[in-house]
Amino acid sequence: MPNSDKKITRGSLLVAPSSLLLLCFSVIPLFMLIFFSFINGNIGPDGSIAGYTTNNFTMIFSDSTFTKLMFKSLGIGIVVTLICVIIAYPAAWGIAKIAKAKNHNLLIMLVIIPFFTSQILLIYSIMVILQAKGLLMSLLGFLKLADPATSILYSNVAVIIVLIYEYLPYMILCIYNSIEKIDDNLIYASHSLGAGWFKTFVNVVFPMSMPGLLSGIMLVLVPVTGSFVEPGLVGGSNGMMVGSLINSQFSTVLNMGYGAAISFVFLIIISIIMGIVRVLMSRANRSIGGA
Amino acid sequence: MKKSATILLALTTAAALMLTACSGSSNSSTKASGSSGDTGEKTLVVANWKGYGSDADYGAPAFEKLYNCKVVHQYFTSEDEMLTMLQTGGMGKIDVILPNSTYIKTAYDEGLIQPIDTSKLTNYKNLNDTWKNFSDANIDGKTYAVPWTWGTTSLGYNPDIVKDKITSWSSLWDPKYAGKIGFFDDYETAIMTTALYLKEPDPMKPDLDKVKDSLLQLKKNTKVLWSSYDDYLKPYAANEIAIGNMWTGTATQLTKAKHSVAYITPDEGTIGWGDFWSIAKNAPDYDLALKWVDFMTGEQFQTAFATGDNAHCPVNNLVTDKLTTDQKKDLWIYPSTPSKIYIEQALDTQTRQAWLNVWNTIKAS
Repeated sequence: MPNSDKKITRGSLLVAPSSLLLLCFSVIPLFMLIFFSFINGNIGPDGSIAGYTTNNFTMIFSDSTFTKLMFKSLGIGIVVTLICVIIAYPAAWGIAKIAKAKNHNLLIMLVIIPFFTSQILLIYSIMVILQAKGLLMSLLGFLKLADPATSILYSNVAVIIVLIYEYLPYMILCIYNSIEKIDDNLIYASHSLGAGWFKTFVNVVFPMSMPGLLSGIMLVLVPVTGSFVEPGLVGGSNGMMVGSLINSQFSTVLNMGYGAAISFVFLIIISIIMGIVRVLMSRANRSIGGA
Repeated sequence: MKKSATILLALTTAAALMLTACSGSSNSSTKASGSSGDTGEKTLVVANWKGYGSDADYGAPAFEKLYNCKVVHQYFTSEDEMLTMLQTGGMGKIDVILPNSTYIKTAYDEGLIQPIDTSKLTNYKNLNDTWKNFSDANIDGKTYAVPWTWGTTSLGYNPDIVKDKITSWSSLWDPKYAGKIGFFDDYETAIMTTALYLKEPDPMKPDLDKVKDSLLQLKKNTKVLWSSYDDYLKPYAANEIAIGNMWTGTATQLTKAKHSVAYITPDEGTIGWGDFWSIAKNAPDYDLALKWVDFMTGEQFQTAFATGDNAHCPVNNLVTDKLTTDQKKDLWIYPSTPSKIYIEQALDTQTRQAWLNVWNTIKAS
């Protein structure tokens, strides 16, 4: 007994550095965000604060701009996440279960490679492919399917395509991680007991890959909903998302308080949605009767 | 193992020492250059963007020779950084700064600049009145900023596609060009441009409700909201957009890339920006700072600045008059400098927020 006690004390010591990190870069900034969402305007060059107010929050809901953008951004976030899930499942399955074991690392490497390139370059490269008279449109024009002088750039569809391209690797990696851990024997057992592919997927693979799926959704839905670079570059005149609204408060009018308040409300909404996703998934898990 | 650790430690210490030594010397260069020179050699500290005229061969080196002094540049990468420079210890060290037309008022409000005695400037009388009389540069009868160079955000179009003769901002509202318009994603330009189109008496104080309605219509016509050169160049090159407001520099870039472009001043007038020289409060050498401002607006410098590789519009009338037709065309001031220019001013906090809210509402709808 005394032996195991010692181990626990040691463990908590080992956790200290990462807890400190969490405190400095996650907990304290969060409280700063909440604090700044109640200040009036920007902080002065000498760090002075002009006053405290709850106006920032009433301003958010004084017209429909924020609400509209929030709904739109969530819509885009959900569409992008769903498409990523649909593409990622077969891809992750293929890498984890169909490809030869010695090729796993190579295939995962191929998924990761886009991370080596800066995000802005990824966006520009997709733009070069999609733009009028670009690769895709020239090909479609050659096949007489579309006018090569037009393109789908500068629309919400273009924003969705770019975001899927950027965030798909996160989803594949998360789901791959879970699927890889599923014992092949479970799948064989399912088959030998008479379940088809679909039943096996619903009753065995899906429940067991739930943790990966959940972290995948978290890693994709949250940043996609808050994105502002992509809609600015490829969204055209209808591209604005809630991230752009937040960005404009900081970068163009230097209204830090209002910007922080919008970020705070955004954070709450996103947290609620993630909570709902979590509950729904554990319910689904239970009704399926999985783990 | 121990040995290698010692060596590593020694190496890091040495590197750290070298780093501090380097940064120390670069920090103190401002002061050192003043004292190390011959007796009586003066130093002028100039805050400007890097590679923006004043540090060219015809800039600081020419000035140094003329007045037997030393010019030290301190570079900033944004207007805000320029103000911060003064606020965090630059006061009393920096002599002259280059605020943009929208930043003069801010610098004045924060007490960062001092009046300029224009009676001691030999070239001031030759400067273009539009820029000289800019309201933000002249506060309470005193001059706080002297114009240096300028540009516009005016109406440009592709004459290969737009066959009509364009003379008015109303073309942007013309259903004929729906889906062919590129518009600057900037709330101040958007609202001022719309105010000009609506012929509001003062484009800086327009009826915001009217502006909002018109902007909503404009948005329906707009294909691209641009905020950089590249944002404009790509869709323009692919003929996805053919008309819209653009910077003088964008028109120049498009011409350089062999695209046909016409850049005009609409009848209602156009939006302009200017870069101005101001003398910092507590400037160490006020007289030398005056000489610098005078030199920067003089014929010699302005001619070189307007005809170099990266040409900039001059404010000195004598220089403008002597430019050749081709040089004027390069600067988009042929046949004449636009007369109706509305210069972007600093907005107070409330107006700024109200204007941004209008623009965000338009973009969100």
